[in-house]
Amino acid sequence: MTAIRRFLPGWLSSYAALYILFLYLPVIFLPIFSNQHGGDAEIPALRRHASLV
Amino acid sequence: MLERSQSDRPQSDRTMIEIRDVTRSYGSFKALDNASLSIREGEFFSLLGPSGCGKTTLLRMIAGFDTPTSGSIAVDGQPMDGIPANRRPTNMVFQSYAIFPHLNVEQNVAYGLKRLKLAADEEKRRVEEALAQVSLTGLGKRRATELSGGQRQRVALARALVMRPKVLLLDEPLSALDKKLREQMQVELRRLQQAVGITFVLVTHDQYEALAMSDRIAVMFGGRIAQVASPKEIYQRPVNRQVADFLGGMNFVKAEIVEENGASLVVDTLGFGRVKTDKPKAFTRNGGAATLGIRPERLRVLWDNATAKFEVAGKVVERHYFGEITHLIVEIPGLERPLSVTETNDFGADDIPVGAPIRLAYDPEALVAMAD
Amino acid sequence: MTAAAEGSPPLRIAGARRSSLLQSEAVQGFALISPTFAYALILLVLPILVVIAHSFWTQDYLTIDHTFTLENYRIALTEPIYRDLLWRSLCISLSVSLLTVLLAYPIAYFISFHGGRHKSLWLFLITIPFWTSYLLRVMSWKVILGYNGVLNSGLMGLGIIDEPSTALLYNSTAVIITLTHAWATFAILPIFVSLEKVDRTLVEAATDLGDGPLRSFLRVTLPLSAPGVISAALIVMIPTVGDYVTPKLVGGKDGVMIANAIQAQFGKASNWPLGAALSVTTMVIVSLMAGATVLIIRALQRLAR
Repeated sequence: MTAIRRFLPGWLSSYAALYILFLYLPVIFLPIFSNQHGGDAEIPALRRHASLV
Repeated sequence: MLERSQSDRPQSDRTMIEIRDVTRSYGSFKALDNASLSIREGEFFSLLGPSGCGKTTLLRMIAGFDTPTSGSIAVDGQPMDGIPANRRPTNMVFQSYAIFPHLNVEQNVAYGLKRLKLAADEEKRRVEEALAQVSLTGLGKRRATELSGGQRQRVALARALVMRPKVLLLDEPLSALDKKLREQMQVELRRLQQAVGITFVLVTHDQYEALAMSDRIAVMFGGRIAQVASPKEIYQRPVNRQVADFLGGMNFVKAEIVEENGASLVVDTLGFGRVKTDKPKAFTRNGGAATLGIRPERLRVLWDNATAKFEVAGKVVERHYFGEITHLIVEIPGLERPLSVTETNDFGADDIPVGAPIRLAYDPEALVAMAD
Repeated sequence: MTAAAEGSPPLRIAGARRSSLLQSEAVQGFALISPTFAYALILLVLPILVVIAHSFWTQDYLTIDHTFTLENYRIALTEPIYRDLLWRSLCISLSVSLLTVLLAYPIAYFISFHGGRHKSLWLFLITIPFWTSYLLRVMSWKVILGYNGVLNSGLMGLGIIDEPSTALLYNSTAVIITLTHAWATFAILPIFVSLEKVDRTLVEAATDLGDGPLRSFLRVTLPLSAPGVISAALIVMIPTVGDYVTPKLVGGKDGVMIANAIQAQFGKASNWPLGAALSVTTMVIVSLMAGATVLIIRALQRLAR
């Protein structure tokens, strides 16, 4: 139990770090968007999508 | 001095809690400084001191919520190093009671039993028994939020007692109650401890609470244990001025050492003349000066022509009325500070005019020498 | 009061009554809340009433026929397309709220119990990403999940996949990921607040009574933070059912949700009554679902004892 108690905050803090990374993902990659037109300039899916809407 | 213990139940001499050279420091601050203590089985033991003296720190270390920086704690002969709070044979009554608000009284009391996986009727029986011990029979279904302060206190007690711990730790359990209820609970708590025979360790800053309930008291100041003794001895023979002061009023009288040997001191005072007194254990001689102390109630007013073998004469300078007693401040020629005297009002002490001459009788036994 | 009024002329009685009416607590209370009340009435109740009214009418091109009919509800509840869309919306919103709460709880717990002196710094750090516009954040997920997006390029660079995967974007998974991200803060904050309110000595008491860290968490901390979990779940669930932007941008064909259909009815299809009926139906179902969520979490809380 003592081992778990010591382990838990460590595990939790790495989880917290990962989660924060997840939250910041869009903010990090937002600048790319302005250069790359959303990263999907010539995608098959987009064409499929466009034909459907 | 041999003391008759407050408890009538024979006590064992077996040590239940052994605290050896325990220090707890936070950075450079020492909350507890090299404390050693041994608490006997079945004893009602109090840790008494002002806030910040380290008494709660010590209690939490026995419970396992804090770990000593150095030193060791053993409960029932088993060293407690590295054993987490949930696996210690101790249970605690918290100052705030810490009643689980999402559970009712019964569920609160049964909380610790759930893990033991008892048979349903056995669990129920133990819960009922614990509730009966604290006179809460019939309130089992009550929600925790619907209880009065006194009832919450009882639930907290029952919840700890139902676990049948080797040691019950009480962290200022009565401080949140009003005066009347507190006095009632003191009696009940003492009675309960006698009945169950579990070692109780009480933390309190209230000297009357400690005096009224304990078999022995440890008085603590600034992280150090100043004195460990029975209530009577602590009160009558405090080892130093600090302890004397903390446990009610004390008149201090300057004295000159005339003779010192192994067990006793002979001193000269201006007001009380030459006095022979027991030498306190922790006495360290500091030149020729010493301090004597006498409790205000050990000075008695001599009425009219009554005489006593030992008496001092002076003048009343102040009078304070407290209902059943009167507090007199008496100036004695030769003493640098006036004496305070507590006298019962049976004979009209509340009518003594301020400014009147007065004679006081005392017992030289009541004059105690103490370290500064 | 009554004794004094008995002998007075009727006019005085009326006057006394009026002043006592003005002094009554209820009236004073109403007077105090009236600005807020009017605000709520105009901005909340009125539009809903308009929508409900429309749902019982029919529309022929540009004119509204005001005769009462349940036809719109028949279509909304029986047309397979609307049924499917509604079902999908509910599933997506349920998964999003479940996922968001599950992901948010540990971090709220971490900040509350192990945040130490830096609690507000952690909370600040968590809110920063939400300073950018919602639309931009959704667009950014397109960058990450897209055909030539960050994730595909990264996976290809690592040699895990040979050609870009199209399974990442334009489906309900993409909607779920984006919404889970978008609503994270709204789940963390209520959970954090309810965890802050958990008296730490209760956890100590549980430990003292023999519980290890996991047991004391399950028996004390979790049940006592249930109100925060409930509000987090509701805060996420209720708006996500009707989310319109996210499915439009990252949902593709498989990610279309009921709000997109409602928008279409009010827009291109120009059938306001049907749109209104779809809205009301969604509203009722979401309310039921929210109620059910509260009941389920309460039941789980009771189970934890």
